[in-house]
Amino acid sequence: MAGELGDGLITVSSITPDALTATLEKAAKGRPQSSGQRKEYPVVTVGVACVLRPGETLDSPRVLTRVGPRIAVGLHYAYEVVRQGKRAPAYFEPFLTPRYRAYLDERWDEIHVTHSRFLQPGEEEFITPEVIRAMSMTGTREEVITRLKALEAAGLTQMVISPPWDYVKESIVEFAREIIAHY
Amino acid sequence: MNFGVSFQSHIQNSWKHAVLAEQMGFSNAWFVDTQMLASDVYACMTLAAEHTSTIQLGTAVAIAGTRIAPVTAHSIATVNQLAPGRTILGLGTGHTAWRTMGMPPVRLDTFRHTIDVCRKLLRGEAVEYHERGRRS
Repeated sequence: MAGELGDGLITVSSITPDALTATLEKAAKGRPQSSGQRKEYPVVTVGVACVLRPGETLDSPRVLTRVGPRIAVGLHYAYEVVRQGKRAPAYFEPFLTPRYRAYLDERWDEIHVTHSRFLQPGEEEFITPEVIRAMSMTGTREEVITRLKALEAAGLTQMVISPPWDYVKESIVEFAREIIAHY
Repeated sequence: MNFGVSFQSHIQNSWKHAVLAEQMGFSNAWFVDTQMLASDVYACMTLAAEHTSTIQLGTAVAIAGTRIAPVTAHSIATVNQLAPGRTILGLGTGHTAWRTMGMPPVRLDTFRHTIDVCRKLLRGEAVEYHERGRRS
């Protein structure tokens, strides 16, 4: 529908070239054949980023605080898809383990109220370094820039960071100094 | 590559975040539309429009169904009066905004109608509108 009707595309979680390419291919199917190649079609993805400090690793509490709440939004979305009897999007599927789904089943009526703010109690167990690596732009400055360049080559025109609401100011400053200034 | 930042629409804070983002080199500030967890998105964008001069201001994303489409169109058009040419209407079917009310996102036919109505009204065109089983 974004390809057919939109002046551009806003997507979430398309933070790998493969995921972005798949999304763009879907959008292209909606494009009227008569329209030809569009002159300008912004492609925006909303994700979350964290630049590691010297010696810091993906299992650091700071990293979890900065990227966990946004990652959970995507996983909760996939969980709701499964609750409707459908298959979770492939991108999320490996991380929506039976144990995590059982955890979410126990609190399904309250999981969405903490979106983009903090994780549910005990949810940090499921936001492992593997999940963080796959579902956020977290790494050293060089690693994050390399990933962004690959996304740009795949067609991304704008990367939007979506930090937790209590850390917006710090995240803006950090991303600008660490990434934008060196991109 | 352009860079944007998305944040909670908070009536006291989000315009300050937009100002900071503009100063720090971001091209876009995107305001979350989620009525159970945040302030009104268009009120927050209005304040940002008044306090910024270059950064693009958008909804990321405005949720179909929580307002009727003509209201969405008039709200973003109002903000655009203050920040002409740097206002973006991002639209979506909703996730958090609907789920926090125990409701699913809107169906695609509703979403399609929302896009159609907003696009045409914002272009100054006539549009066939339907609501509650009635057609205009």
